[in-house]
Parts: sequence; C-alpha cells; structure tokens
Amino acid sequence: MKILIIVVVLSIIMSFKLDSDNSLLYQQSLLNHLSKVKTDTIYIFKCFDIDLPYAVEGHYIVDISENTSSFLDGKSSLYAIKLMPIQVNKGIVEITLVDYMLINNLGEIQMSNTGSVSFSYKYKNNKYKFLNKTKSTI
Amino acid sequence: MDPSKGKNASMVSTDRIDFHSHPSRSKKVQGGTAIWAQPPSAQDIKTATGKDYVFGMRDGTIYIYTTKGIVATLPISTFKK
Repeated sequence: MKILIIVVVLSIIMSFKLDSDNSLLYQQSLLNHLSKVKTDTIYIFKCFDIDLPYAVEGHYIVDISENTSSFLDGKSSLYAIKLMPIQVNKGIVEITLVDYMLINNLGEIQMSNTGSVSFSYKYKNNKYKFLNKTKSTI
Repeated sequence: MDPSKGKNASMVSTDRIDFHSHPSRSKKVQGGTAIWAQPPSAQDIKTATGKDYVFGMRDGTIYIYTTKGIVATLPISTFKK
C-alpha cells in the first residue's frame, strides 16, 4: 500500500513538473518567435491543457480559442499564433507555432495560414537546451 | 521582333523565374475556417529572386512579386480557357 501511495504522489509531482516545463518551453518559443515584433498583446489559439501565464516579459497573452469573433470586433484583421501540441521524437522536443492572419469575411472568420516555425529542444542535465529553429513557408 | 527577318521569335528570359502555388483547401476549425494565405508570404517576398509568381488557387489570383513586395496581380482565368 505504501508503495502505491508513493507511486501516485510521484506521478502527481512529475505531471506538475511536466506541465511547468511545457509552459516554459512554449513561453520561450513565443518570445523567440516574436523577438523582432513590437507588440503588447500576443493573441493565441491553444488547447485547454496548455497552461500559460497571463503575461510573459511584458507581453499579455490572450487566448482567443473561444469567442474568436469578438476579438476581431472593430479590427480589419488580427494576427494570432496557434500553439501546436508538443511533439517528442528521439528525445528531441519540438514546438510548432503557426502564424494566422484573421479576417472577418461576411460574418465568417477566415484564418489564413501564413507559415509556421518549429523550435527544437533537447533535455540534458536537468534542463532544456535550445537546438534550432525551422521555418516552414507556404 | 521583326517577323520578316526569319529569326526565332520565341521569348527567352535571362532572368530566373520562380513560381509556386498556395493551396485552395479550407478546413472548419474552432474559431473559424482555416485557409492558406493566398498572397506571397513574408518569407516568399524575402527570398524572391527577381519577379516571382504565386498562384493563389483559392482566390484565383496570380501574384507577381519581388523583394519589395507585390508588384502586380492578375486573374488566373487570364491563362485558363
């Protein structure tokens, strides 16, 4: 019974650590991707299981996955980034961010994919090391 | 070109012309409809090698662009019967 409790507690602790690691990797990738862009607010699409803070290094992060059209009110277009689920391949962690330009086309929100960028990291010595950045244009 | 001089009248371009298409496919997703951007992307414009072409298959437009941006557009129907 004791072993079972220890396993359960360790699993819970590890899942919190993984969530925290994932969040940090997404934050790092976003900042890298937007390093040359001056913006106060980063609009994103993400799955419910990706946790991100309210703001990162002075940029407010706004999830527009729900009620997307309301964020376009009064704007001709809106730039947003879709956070793709983390992929792990042979020990390499990959995060892909897709750039979207949103417009309201007669009541329908059109999300134009303008390309994406992937960031690769390797877990080594208890930390993630940034490996490279790969752009995919259309 | 003078048609009376018997020279080959074929057009020869000394420039390298790059062209590619942007797909027409769309997909309903949460928040709206995802489509491929039709005009040349920022990366396309950055890496243009002269007057390059993008065929926007969804909006039926050909975009001609250089490293300075889009210089002309014309409907694909111009070339289609």
